[in-house]
Order: sequence, then C-alpha cells, then structure tokens
Amino acid sequence: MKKYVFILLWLCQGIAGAHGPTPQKIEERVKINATQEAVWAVLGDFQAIAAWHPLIAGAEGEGSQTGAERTLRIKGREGLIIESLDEYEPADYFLAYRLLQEDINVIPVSFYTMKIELSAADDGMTEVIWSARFYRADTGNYPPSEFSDEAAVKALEDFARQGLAALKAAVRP
Amino acid sequence: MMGALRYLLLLGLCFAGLASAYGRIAVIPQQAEDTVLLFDTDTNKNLALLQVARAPVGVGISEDGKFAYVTHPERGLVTEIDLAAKKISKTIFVGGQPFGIQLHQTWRRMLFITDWSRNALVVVDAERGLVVDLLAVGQAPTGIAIDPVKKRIYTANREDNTVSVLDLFKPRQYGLIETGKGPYALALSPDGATLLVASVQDSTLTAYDTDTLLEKGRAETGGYPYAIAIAEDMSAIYVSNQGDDTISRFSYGDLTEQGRIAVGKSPEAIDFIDRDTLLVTNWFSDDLSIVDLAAAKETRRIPAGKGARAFGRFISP
Repeated sequence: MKKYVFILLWLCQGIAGAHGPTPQKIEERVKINATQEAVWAVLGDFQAIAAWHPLIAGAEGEGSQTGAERTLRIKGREGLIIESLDEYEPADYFLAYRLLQEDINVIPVSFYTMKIELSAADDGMTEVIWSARFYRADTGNYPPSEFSDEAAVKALEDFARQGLAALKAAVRP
Repeated sequence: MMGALRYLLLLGLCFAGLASAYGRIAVIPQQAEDTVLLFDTDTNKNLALLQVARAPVGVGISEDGKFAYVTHPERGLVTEIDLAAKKISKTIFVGGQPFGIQLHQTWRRMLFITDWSRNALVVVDAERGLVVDLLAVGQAPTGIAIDPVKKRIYTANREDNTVSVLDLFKPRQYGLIETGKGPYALALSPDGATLLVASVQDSTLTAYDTDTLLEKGRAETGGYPYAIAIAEDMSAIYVSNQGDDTISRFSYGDLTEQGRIAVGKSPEAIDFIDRDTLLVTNWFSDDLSIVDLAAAKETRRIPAGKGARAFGRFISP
C-alpha cells in the first residue's frame, strides 16, 4: 500500500512541474574580518564549493563563466543536483546561479535561484549576503510535510547558514 | 453628426468622472502574509489592509473600477473585493491553481483565469460566483490577455513554451504560438495589433502580429522578466527584470532597449499610475517603487507587507 502512495506522489511531482505559483525566500548574512578580495578568493571559484561548504560531498564541472554548470553531491544523500551560473561579476564580487536539475530527495525544493554578494562594511570588514528564491518540492496544493514550504525554507536556510559559517572559517584575513 | 460627437464626448466625460469617483487604487496581494493592500496612488497612502485566503497573487480589476479579483492558487479560490467599500464581497471556489486573471464584461461580468495545475482556462460568472467553463490550454498557463475587438484570449503556457489563442465566445482553440522558453507574462498593445510575451527561462521579450500570429520582433531582457507594461500612447514598453532588480525600457517599434532603472529587490508587477509614473512591487525587499519615467529613475520607496507581488494590471482605471 505504502509503495503505491509513493508512486502516486512521484507521479504528482511530474504533473506539478518544477515551478509553482508561490515562491519562498531566505536571506542570510555574515560579516567576515577580511577584504572582499580575500573572501572572493575562496568563493569566486564556482567549481571549488566542496572545498569550503560542509554539506557538499563533491562538485564536478568546469569553469566560472556564465552558463558554467556544476554537479553536486550532498553529504548523507543519494542522488545529484545540477546548478548553472547565470551571472558572474568578479569586479562587483557577485554571483548568481540556478538549480538546473532538481532532486527533491537531495534538497526538498523544485527550483531555486541563489545570489551571493560581498559588500564592504564600514569597519573594513566584508559582509556576505546569501539570498535565494525557491519553490517547495511538491508544488501541488497538498504537499506532504517533507515536501512543504516549511521543509524547503528550513533546508535552504540551513544550507546558507552552514555555508556562510564555513566560508568565514575558510577565509584568510 | 456634430451632435452625436458632442454626445460621445459628454458620455466620455461621464465615464471619466465615474472612474475617478472611486479614486485610483493599486490592489497589491502580499503573498507571504495572506493580505491584500489597497494603496491610493494619488496620495501614496495605504487605504486598507484586507486579510484574505492563503497566498494571493493574481489581480484583475473591472473596467468600471468597482471590483477587484485576486487569485489564490494554493487554495483554488478567487476573492472579490468591493473597491468602494474596501471590503471582501465574495469568495469564489474555482478549484485547481488559479493564477492569472482578466475580466471581460458582456451581459455579465466574466472572469477568465489561468489554472496552473490543470492546464486550463477557467471561465467564471463573477456575479453568480460560478465556474461556467473549463477550457484546455497548454501546460502551466500563467499570463493572460483578452482582445475584445478581435475576440481572442491568449494564455502564456510556461511549461511548454507556447501561447494558446482561443476564441472569446466559442470554446475552441484558434491558434498556437511557439514562444521563447518559459513564457510567463503577456501584454496586448492598446491598438490590439501586437501581443508581447516575456519569457522567464531565456529572458526574452517577443512581439507577435495578432493578425498572422507570426513573430515580428525579439529582444533580450534582464534576468527573469516578470511583467510587461505598454505606454498608452505606444511610445515605450517597460519590463520588470525580477532577476536583476531593474526595469527595462524598450522602444515600441523595434524593441531596442533604451536603458534600465534600478528599483527594489525582485521587482514583479508593474503598472502605470499615470503616463509618466510606474508603480512596482518588489517581492524580495517587501516594498513598492515609484518610478519617474521621464527622469528614468526611482523617486520613492514605500514599505509594503511580506511578499508584495501582484500579477496582471493591478491599478484600477
């Protein structure tokens, strides 16, 4: 019986499509006692995220130019997701990327766009602002709790927070 | 002849008087807090904050400015708001995921609503609060435009890169247009000759001849173009670039981009307050931008509620 429910859920996923009518958002910030250049030296290589983000088990792909893709493995999860770089502006210390291929059992979202920007704070520190716009895993009107808006917000908040904390630790002032 | 002309002019003045009696009101669904903000565009003041059903997004307003309709895709509902009383006057259950909405007045006030999850156009008799028809369109329809002269309905089908063209009074498909990737917002030129389509996945603005349904122009926009507003005198086209926090201005004739105006974060809906001024809802920064079009810059930022969005023309006539 349970198996059929899962198959049904999986079918509903397909029907609902990757985007829904109600986006969600998160914004996380951290201040790092270093220059923008020093933070960008860690963050700026799009393919090197596994070197500093504690939730990434592996990243594969080439380049840090607009259109570059990376395939990610997340720790403790089976399956892969693919992201693609939409904007890459080293002069402005800014990058933006999107989820190109989702796997809702890896991260419970059907689609996201993320932006990470570095801004110079008054005290000579650098503020890192990580924001995302996204849709829950099941964009139908009756999502199970593990594929709900709340689950999606929690997962991406956690992803950004852990990423920022680790980025702070990885930057050499 | 002159008598008739004078009569028409007088009639025009009467209608102008009628419309302004209600004031110009922006109807702003605030999706993350389940409210609709009624905002006076003459005074830039909030008129009312209505608690509504979950996650409102699409807006349609009757030609006489008396009623606004707001869609709730998460609940399969449409809320009717009496704009003079500033109160909810009706809730209509339509099912599915109602998203974009347009009105058409015949002998009754009819609502035409795109249904994202049922791949359908839902037709609702607003006066009786009843669904009267459900027509098949492409996958995940979002934007909708109605041409009362050519008697056509257009829906942007986000997931299959098409625009469905339906007859307004007959339940049949008239044609199908292939578009850019992820067609989302539609706008008809005031003369009905041109249909504009904003496609969010390849960030393009395309123009189609409504007689031949053939493409006649294409331009790149900023990231994720979410709304289109065409100047009444057809001098310019404005597009909100949700992905890079700007409004693009394009020439009407050949879709040449003439500049970008920085606004709040994740701008979505845009509509004209008057011919020189745009109102913008900024979904990420939870605020509104007022844009002076002659100066090509934002002149004011006004705080709004959580997830201020709107989809469709959201300022009353």
